[in-house]
Amino acid sequence: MAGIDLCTFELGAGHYAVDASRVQEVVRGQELTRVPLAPPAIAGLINMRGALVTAVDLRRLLGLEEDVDAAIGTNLVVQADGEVVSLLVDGIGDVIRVDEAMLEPPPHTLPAELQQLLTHSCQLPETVLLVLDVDRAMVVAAARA
Amino acid sequence: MSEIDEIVHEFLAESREGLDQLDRDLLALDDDPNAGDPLDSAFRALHTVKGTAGLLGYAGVEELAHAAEQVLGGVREGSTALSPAITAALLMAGDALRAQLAHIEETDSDDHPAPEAALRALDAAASPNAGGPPGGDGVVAVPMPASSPPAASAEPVTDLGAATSPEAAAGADVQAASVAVAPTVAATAGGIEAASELAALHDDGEHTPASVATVGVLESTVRVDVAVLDDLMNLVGELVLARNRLRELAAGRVDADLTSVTGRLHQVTGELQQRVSRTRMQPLSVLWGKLPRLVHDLAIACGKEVRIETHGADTELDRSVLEAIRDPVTHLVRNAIDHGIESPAVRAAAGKPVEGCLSLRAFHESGRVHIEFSDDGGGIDLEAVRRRAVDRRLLDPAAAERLDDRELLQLVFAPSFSTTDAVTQLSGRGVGMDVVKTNVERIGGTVDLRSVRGEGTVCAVTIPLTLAIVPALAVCAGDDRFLIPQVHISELVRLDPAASGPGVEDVLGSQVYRRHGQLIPVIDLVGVIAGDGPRPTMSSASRTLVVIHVDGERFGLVVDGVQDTQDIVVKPLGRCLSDIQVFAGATIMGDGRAALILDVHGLAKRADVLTSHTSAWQATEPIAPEPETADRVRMLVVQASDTRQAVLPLHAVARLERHAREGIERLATGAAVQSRGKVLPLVELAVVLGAEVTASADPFDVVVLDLDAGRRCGLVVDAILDVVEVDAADSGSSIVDGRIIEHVPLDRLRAASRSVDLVTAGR
Repeated sequence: MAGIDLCTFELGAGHYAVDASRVQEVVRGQELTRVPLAPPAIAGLINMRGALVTAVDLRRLLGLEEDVDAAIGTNLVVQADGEVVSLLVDGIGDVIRVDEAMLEPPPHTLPAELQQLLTHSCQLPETVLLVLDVDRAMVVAAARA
Repeated sequence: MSEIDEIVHEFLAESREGLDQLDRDLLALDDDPNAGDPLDSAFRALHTVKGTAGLLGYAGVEELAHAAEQVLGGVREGSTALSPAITAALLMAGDALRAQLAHIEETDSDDHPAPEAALRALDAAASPNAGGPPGGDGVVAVPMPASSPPAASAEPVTDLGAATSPEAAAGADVQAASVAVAPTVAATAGGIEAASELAALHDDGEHTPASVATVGVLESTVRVDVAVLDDLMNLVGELVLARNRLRELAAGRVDADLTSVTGRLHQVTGELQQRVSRTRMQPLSVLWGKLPRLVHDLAIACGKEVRIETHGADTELDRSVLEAIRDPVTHLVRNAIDHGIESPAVRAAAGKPVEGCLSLRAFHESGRVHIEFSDDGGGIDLEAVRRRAVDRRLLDPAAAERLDDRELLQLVFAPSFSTTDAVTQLSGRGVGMDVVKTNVERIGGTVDLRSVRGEGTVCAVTIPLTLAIVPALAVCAGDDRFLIPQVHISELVRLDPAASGPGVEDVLGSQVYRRHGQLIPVIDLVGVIAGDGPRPTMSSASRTLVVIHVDGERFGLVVDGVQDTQDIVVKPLGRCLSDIQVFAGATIMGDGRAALILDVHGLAKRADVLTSHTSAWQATEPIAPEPETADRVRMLVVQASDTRQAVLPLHAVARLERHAREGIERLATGAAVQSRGKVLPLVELAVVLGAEVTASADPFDVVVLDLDAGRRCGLVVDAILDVVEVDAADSGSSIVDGRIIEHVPLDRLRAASRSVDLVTAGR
C-alpha cells in the first residue's frame, strides 16, 4: 500500500501535518530571540545545541489568530527550501501513514493565501488534516516583508 | 567520497602541485641552466606524476609525463643540453598535463590521449640525442639517485603493467587494495606513500620496509581535506560557545572546584581555538607559487622583461581570505606588467635596467596582513588620469585641475576607469582597480596607491587575519541585545543628560555630535531597529554613544547600554534574514541566547547618514555651547567663498541639502534643482554678498530657506560650517569667535530669488 508518512501537529483549532521525511526533530521550550526588521512571519532565532535556527511564526504565516501567550512553544524543526528551520506549533501529534489515495486538494473554502501553502488535505475519521508545503511556506515567509 | 575517489582526488591535487613546482623549476633553470636543485626537483615532479598516473591507469597522462621526464632525464645525465626550445617544450608539456588532469576531474576517465603537439615538441627537443630508450622500458632504464623515493614506486608499475593489460591490472588492483590503502592515504604523508604501500602489497619483498620508512621520514606534513578543517573549526566554535555558557553558569555559583575547572577549560579552549584557526591558515606561497609562471608568460606577451621577487611567502592567512584575494592579486600583477613596467626600449632610454622588477612583500602587523605590490615602472601618469577623468565626464576641467595628487590617485579606483587607450586583453577594460578595491574591502581590507612618476608604483593592501571569530562589543537597545565588531569602534562616549558639556545636538532635525572639532552624524539604534514601526519613548537615563568608523567615515550610534567585549563566533543568518541590511550575522552568547551582529555599513546606509548633508559638516573650532536664552538667536554659519563667511537665522532654514553639479537645471527664470519632487530655484550666496564665485565641480551644499508665503529658495554655499548663537539684538553683522561675520540679508535674498539667473556660468 503506497502511502506517505505525515507528522501531524496542532495549531490553534486546526490539525495540520508535514511530510515526515522533512522533519528533523521536535524541541520544546527554546527561548526565542526576536529579529527586528525581519519579515512578519519570522518569529526570531533559537539556539539549537549551538546552531542558530530561524523560527517561523506559523500562526502568522497561515493567517490564524494570534495566540497571546505563545512565547515559548513547541519547535517542529524541519528541512525547508534547503535549510533547517523551526516551525512554531502548539503541539505535536502522531506520525501517521496515509494512503496516497486519501490525499485531496486543499478545500476551496479556505482563504486563498492559506490554500497556497498547502499541498493537500486529508480526510481522517475525526478531522480534516491540512498538509503544509514546507518549501513554499519558507519562500512565502521570507517574501512578506 | 568513495575510497577510489579519494585516491584520485589526492592524485589530482598532488599532481597539480607537482606541475606548479615544475613550472617554477623550469623558470629557475631558464635563469641558471646549471642549477642542480631545480633540475632534480623538476625531474622528481614529473616522475611522481607519471608513477601515480600509471598506478591509477591513466595511460595518457603517464605517456606524456614519461616523454617529458625522458627529455629532462637526458638533461640531467648531461646527454642533452638545456635550451630555450627544450624549456618551452617542457612548459608546454606541463600545460598539456594540466589539461589532461582537468579532463580526468571532469569526466572521471582518461580518454584524453597525450596531446600530439606536446609530444612532438618534446620529441623534437630531445631528438639531437637519439640515445633515449624507447617506450615502457624507459621507466626502469633511466638512472636515478638512490635516495629518490618515487623510484621505489616506479618499478611495480612496470611489473604490474607487464603482467596483464596495464589499465585492467592497475584498476583492479587499486580497487582491491583500496580498502587497505584509503585509510593510509588519509592518515599518512600523501599519495606517494600510498603508492608505495600499494606496491608493497603486490610486490612482496620487492620493497624493503626501509624504503617505505624512508618515504615516511621525508614528509612530516599531513594532507588533510579542507572540508575536515572546516568541520573542526565549526566544532571548536561550538566548544567556545559552550565554554562561554559554562563560564556564565559557574559565575553564579560559589564553588571553588567548579571555578578552577572552568578556568582550566577556558584556557584550554582558548588555545584550541587559536590553534585550530591556525590550521585554516595557509601561507601566501599558495598564491605566489603560480606567479612566476604568470609573470613569465605575461612579460613575453607584452614584449617586456620582468622579474618577480616575493618576500614573506610564508605569511599566513585564513583560507577564505586567501581565496578572496586570489583574483585581486592576479589583477594587480597583471596591471603592473601590462601598464606599470615600461618596454625595454623605454626603460633603457630612461637609464633604468632593461628588466623591470615587480616586488611583492607580505608581512604581519597590528593583527593584519599587509601585502605591498611595488613595481619600478613608469608610475601612474597623473596627468593622464586627470585627462581621462575629464574625458569620462567624471569631473569638469576646472575641477579636475584642482585635484591634488592624492585625489587623482583615488580616481583610479573609480568604476570603469582606465588610462590606457589600448585596453589590452590581459588586463581587460578598466574594471580592474575598482573590482580589486571592492573585493578587498568586502573582506574588511583596505587598498592604497602610492606612485612616483618615472620611478614606480606601490599598491598596499591590508587584510584581516581571520573572519570567523571576531571580538565584538555587546550593546543593548531596549530589551534587545546586539553586537558590534570591535574593529569598527573608535570610541565610546557616555551621554549624561544631566551633565553639561558636549553631547548630541539636534540641528534641523538631524542629530550630530561634536567630536575633536568635527561634527559627526548620529543615529539611534532604538530608532533603527524600530524601522517603520512606532518609536518607543526615549528613556531619560544616561545612554552611550558608540563612535563607529567605516569606509573612512565616522558616525555615532546611540545605544542604551554597553556590556563587555568578547570573542564571538560569527554565524550566518538564514536565507530569509540575510538580506536585512543592518545585520551581518548572529551568534550565541554565554547565556545561551542568540544575539544579532550589527552590520556597520548597513546601519549607516539605513539611517541614510553617510549620504546626507550632515556628513559634510565641519566645525572650524570647538565652540562651547552657551545656554540658550530669549536674547539669543541660533544662526547658521556658512561660507560663500574662500574667505567670506556669513550667518543666517536658523529659524529661516527649512533644511540643508547636498546636490551634484549635474543636478543643476537652467530655466528661463534662473538655475534650479529638483528637491523632494519640487523645483527649487537657486541663488548663489557669493553673488548676493558681492563676493567671488569659485568654480567647482564638486557637489554643493544648499541651504533651503523659507522666504515668504510658502516660497522657498536654495541658497548655494561653498560650505556649511557651524551653528552658533548670537545676540538677538544684532543686526547686519555679529561677532562670532572674535570675528565679525555679516548676516545674510534675507530681504535682498527674496529680491534676488525673483530676478533672473544669478548662478554664474562657471558652475
